[in-house]
Amino acid sequence: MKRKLIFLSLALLFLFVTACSKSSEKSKNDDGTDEAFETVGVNEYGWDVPKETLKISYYAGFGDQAESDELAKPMEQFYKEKFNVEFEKIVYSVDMNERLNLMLGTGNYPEVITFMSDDMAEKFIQQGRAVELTDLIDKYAPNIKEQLGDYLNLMRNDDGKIYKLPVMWGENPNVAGWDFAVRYDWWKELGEPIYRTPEEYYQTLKKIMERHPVNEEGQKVYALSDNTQGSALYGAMLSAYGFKNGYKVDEKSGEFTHWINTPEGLEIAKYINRFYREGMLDPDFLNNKFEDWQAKVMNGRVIGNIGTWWHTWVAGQEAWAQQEGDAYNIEKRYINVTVKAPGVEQATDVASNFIGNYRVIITDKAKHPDRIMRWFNWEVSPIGTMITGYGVPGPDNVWDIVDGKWIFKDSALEYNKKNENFHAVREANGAQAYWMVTKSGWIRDERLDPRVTRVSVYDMWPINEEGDFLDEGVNLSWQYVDGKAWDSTLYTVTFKADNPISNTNQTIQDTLLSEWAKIITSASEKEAEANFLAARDKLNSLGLHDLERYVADSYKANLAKFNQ
Amino acid sequence: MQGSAAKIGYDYEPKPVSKGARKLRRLRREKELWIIAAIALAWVLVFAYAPMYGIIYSFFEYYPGMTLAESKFVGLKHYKDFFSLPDVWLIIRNTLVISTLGLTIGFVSPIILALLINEIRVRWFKRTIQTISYLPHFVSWIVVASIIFTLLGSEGFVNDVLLKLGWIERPLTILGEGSYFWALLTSANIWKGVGWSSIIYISAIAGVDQELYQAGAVDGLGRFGMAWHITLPGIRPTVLLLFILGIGSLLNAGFEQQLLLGTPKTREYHEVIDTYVYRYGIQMGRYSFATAVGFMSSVLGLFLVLLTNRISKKLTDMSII
Repeated sequence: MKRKLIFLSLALLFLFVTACSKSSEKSKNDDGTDEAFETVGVNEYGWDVPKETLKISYYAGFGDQAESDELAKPMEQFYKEKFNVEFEKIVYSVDMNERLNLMLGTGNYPEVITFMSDDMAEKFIQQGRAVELTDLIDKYAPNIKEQLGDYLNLMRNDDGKIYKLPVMWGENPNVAGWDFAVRYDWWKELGEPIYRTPEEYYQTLKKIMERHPVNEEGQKVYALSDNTQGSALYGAMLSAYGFKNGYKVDEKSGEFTHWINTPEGLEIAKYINRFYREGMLDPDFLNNKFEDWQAKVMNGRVIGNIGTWWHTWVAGQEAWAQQEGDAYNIEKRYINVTVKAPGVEQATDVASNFIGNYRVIITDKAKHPDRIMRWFNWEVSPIGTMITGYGVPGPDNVWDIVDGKWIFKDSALEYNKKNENFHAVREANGAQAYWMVTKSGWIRDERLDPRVTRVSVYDMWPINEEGDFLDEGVNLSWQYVDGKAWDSTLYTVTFKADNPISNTNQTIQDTLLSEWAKIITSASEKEAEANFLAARDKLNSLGLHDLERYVADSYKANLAKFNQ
Repeated sequence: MQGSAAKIGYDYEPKPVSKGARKLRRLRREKELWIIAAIALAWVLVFAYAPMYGIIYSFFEYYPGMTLAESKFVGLKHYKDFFSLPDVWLIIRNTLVISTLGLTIGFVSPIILALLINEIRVRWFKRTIQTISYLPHFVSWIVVASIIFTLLGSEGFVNDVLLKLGWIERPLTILGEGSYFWALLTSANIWKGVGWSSIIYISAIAGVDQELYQAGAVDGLGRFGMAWHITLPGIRPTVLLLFILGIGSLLNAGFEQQLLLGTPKTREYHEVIDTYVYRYGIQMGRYSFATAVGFMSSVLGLFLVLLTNRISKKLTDMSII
């Protein structure tokens, strides 16, 4: 009896296991995709709604989890009701790279990781933690293929396979990039002398400083300040000299020369040092955090800016408009100006990196990578990008879908109230709450409101019938910006963890920052030159020439991949 | 005992007790103490000793996500890599200087403060001063850094006063000068920690026999003489103990302070082993390298503790081991 019972139990167990394995075999196709993914039909937003709720967990980088969940509530509800999709968005208040290293070490990570650096994506791929996407893209993501075009080749590895996709990609929607800004109202007092070269810019700032030595509280006014530990100063200057990502590129020979090894680099060093020696540069420029610098700008203590265009935009006119309300004078703003060194054909102030600097991968933890790819396909569609970037369409939001057109609310077009009527409103409606693969480049679609231009997930710019920006202030700020973007995509360089050049790169970056600080703060031009040459020797001894060769080789490899 | 047994009139020989049995007996006697210490011991075992197996990673080329078996054995490569860094001697110099300043000026300051506080006769004033002195210990370094920037920035309070007094014509760039960094850091460390560190010395001073002071007074010692000849010798064991333990941290010169107070211009003075390892080890995912340098610092620290302990034993007959 006992033996019979044992035999019966074993037989039942065997049947059970066989049935389970057969059913799991039945649920997967040969390519690992899921046959059982049933849908109920395409909704009004172009998404094929699944019968069973699609759940995706993803790590999105730095953030506060509670805040992220709160901001995502409108989108969470919208996606659940209309799309039958649920997201578990994970953020941590720690450096993303550190967290990713820990995730790799512990093997504890979600199905998707987005907004990761290219280096970290390569780490995951090297260790077999990323799912191959080549076939998935072919089958389920025609939008990705179409929109990325040849740039998709840059995502391929040496075997031609794709394991990662870009995030925040597309043509740069900004008008300005690096720039040489000046307080418009003070500049107007001088008669609006247009400056187009670094020397002219210096003269303009000097004249303004003579007229405005102190602010209303009697505090000293400076021509320039900084909040990037000095790095933006050389960044913007290099763009005026036509350098590309810090290198002088000889298109014929394919040689890349780091700016510290060029005569232009010395000119730039002397130029900035002059500001310091003449007391025109804020002495705390190396210590300023963004908030410290912003306070100085808002208190009218900074005349110009050699750096990033939006810094003075946010700290200047946006802040003043909010602070002063109806009393705000539109001419109290910074204008962004393209400056070129003499003899330079085109400044490289506006760089457009089509593939951006961030990547997304589907990890080996994903139960249904094909379903995730379907979602990616929808997210990069024009309507998907609009919803991702602007939140739930509706009368409460800045945009709605009216007779098939994507129309912005009138109040959202009031540029002087952009923060309260546009950014705050769309944020409250879930804008950018869930973002895995959407582009940040221009959204071009015939359904877009014809009253706006340069629409991206970041912003949109209203225009009038003549094609000028609706806001007079915007026209004022950008009238002297060339806005010609150069394609920096192929100049993207990946530094892999196991390549010693990564250490060389980091060492050079750190040393350059400290040497640059020494150069700018030299007491005399002679000392600045001596410090510059000493810095050059030091960096070259650290392997700068190897880095130059590596960057050049990366460019050639990208070019070959792109043209496949 | 045998003699008394003979006297009583019966044979008694105590049974020889083994070492193990003696230990067991002692354990039973002290079982309450062991129960109290059990949680702390468990914590030390789990968080201090168990992770030590990770030292093995310093001998492999480990990248997060790989197992040890998948990692290539590289022996002492990471240790050699550290010493072949271009700025290694700069980093070691900064570490040693900052630690030495902490071990000298920083070590002596709480003792001096404790002696001074001990001399205060008005009780409420003494307690008030003591409380105020250790409040900075609870302030985070982020706040301290903000205070320092506010005080010492080119538009800070100090420059403001000096300019108004006419002592300087242009603001001093104290925070931007590398040569001031060590003094600045040591001063900040002292300000933040002197009160808290003085507590243990104040308690040690309280334990000095009061009769000694009375005897000293009879011998004609003044207050300074009593401090020098009675108080200091009385707290010598405490001082030595803390000094020996402090020596072990010679290669740990701080981390937060350098990250918060350092600027690109002071890098030559503020870059220490811990900040370097954080950036080039932890942030870049080079855990093997970070482990190697950390292990090396710990071994050197242990060696220094043992050496100092031995010297102390020879010179003063006092030691912790």
